[in-house]
Amino acid sequence: MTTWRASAKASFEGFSLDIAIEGGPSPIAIIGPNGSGKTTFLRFLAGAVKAELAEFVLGGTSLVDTKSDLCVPMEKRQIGYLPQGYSLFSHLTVLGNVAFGLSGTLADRRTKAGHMLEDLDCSSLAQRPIAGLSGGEQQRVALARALVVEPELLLLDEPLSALDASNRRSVREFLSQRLELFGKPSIMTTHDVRDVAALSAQVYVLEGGRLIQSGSLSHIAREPASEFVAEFVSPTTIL
Amino acid sequence: MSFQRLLSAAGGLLGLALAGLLVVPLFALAMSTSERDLVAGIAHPMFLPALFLSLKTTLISLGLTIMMGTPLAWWLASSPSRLTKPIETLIELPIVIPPAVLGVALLQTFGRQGLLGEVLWEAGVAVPFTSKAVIIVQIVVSSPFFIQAATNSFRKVDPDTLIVARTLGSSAISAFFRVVLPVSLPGVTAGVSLAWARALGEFGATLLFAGNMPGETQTMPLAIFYALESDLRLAVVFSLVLVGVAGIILAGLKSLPPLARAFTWGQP
Repeated sequence: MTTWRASAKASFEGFSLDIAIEGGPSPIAIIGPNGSGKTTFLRFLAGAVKAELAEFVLGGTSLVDTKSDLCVPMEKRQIGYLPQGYSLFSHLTVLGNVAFGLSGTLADRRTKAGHMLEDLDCSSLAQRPIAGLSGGEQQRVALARALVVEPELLLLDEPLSALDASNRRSVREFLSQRLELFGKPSIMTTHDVRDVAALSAQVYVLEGGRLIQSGSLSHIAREPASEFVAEFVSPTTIL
Repeated sequence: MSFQRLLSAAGGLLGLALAGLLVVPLFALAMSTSERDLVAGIAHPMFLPALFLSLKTTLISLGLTIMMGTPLAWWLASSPSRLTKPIETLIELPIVIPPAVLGVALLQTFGRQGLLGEVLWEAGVAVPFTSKAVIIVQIVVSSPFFIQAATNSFRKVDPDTLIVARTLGSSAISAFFRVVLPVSLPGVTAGVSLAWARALGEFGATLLFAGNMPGETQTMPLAIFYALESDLRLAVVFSLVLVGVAGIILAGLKSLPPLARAFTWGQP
């Protein structure tokens, strides 16, 4: 069973982050208003943002420990990252995107990427350029690209925010099924309480770069620690 | 006729006038020569050495510009440092400085009594009035065009694509070559074209810093200038050939991004 724990203290221009979270293989959701540090924290875990004082242990392996000057580079962390808007490589086909992180012979890479696309019900997209894909298709391709390298932790930064309302529901269901099958830790940031409910995720609330509350969705709904949380879990938001 | 239509017609006419101004001189050049002049001009002893020197020096200066300018452009585009803005302005300065001024400045730098010239001279390296000087001039006048275009192109690359590439196992350098460069290829190629065109056409600073020695520092623009003083027909032939060579290379460079895209889309 993969577990992880991370703590980070960092100062940026006009913003500071001070957060400590730990989790197991079940998904967790980080919520918070814009500018609360959700994306920064995910980027810290991915290795794109450095913190002055930090520790990050994933599956028993220490990836960051500022006390001993340890900072494993991004490419060696085995972390999958789905940024907002998916950031697919526009110069490659769908198959090229999915095979990007694979090693081995061309035939092996092609086969493995093809199987992953098949697994996510989008093998028909394999030879398509990125420019013509719908939001939902892009999301599947980005997920396939992240999952095919078998990461130990999956980071999803507002994975449904780029989709229109009609697509969001079906993609949300699809995502929760895939994360369940993934069986390893995943962290998702979101502005939508329905994403949290679909994943049955443990919720962490960030405000101003600090963790102000954590617990199950029902727990934070019962005792919201701030106006933002109260608004997030209010019945009108859910409806 | 409505005001909108009038405005649109006026805009069309102005555009046509500008296009004419760009194209008509080239037609005039082509019309003012004959087959016999063309053959005689190409056979002239000044022609091949000047053409060869122009192609050789511009290819070397372009290669060096790409090699040194690409990391600089990437740094300017991606570094959070506050130094990037003033450094970018300094780099772009040669675009607006008259070539004659650059020629004098290069003499003051690499000349025998110059800032670096004295040390170089003692080390047995003479720069002014050699083919090395031609290459240095070309780098100074052309690299700002490449750096400017490449920097603007790199700035358009979504930083998250780099993070994704890194998490997928690419090192920083590999992510640059596998993602940043292919995505920004159209802009980078435009920079290469501009830089190469500027280097090929360089005249004033070369004349001052490298001189006009046939076979050594006489590039095509200098050969045209020299021919113009004695034989207009020869100058026209040289000019026409330079237009042809430039056109072919420019077309080749412009076809690079679609070719590269067709290649990468097929991967793996």
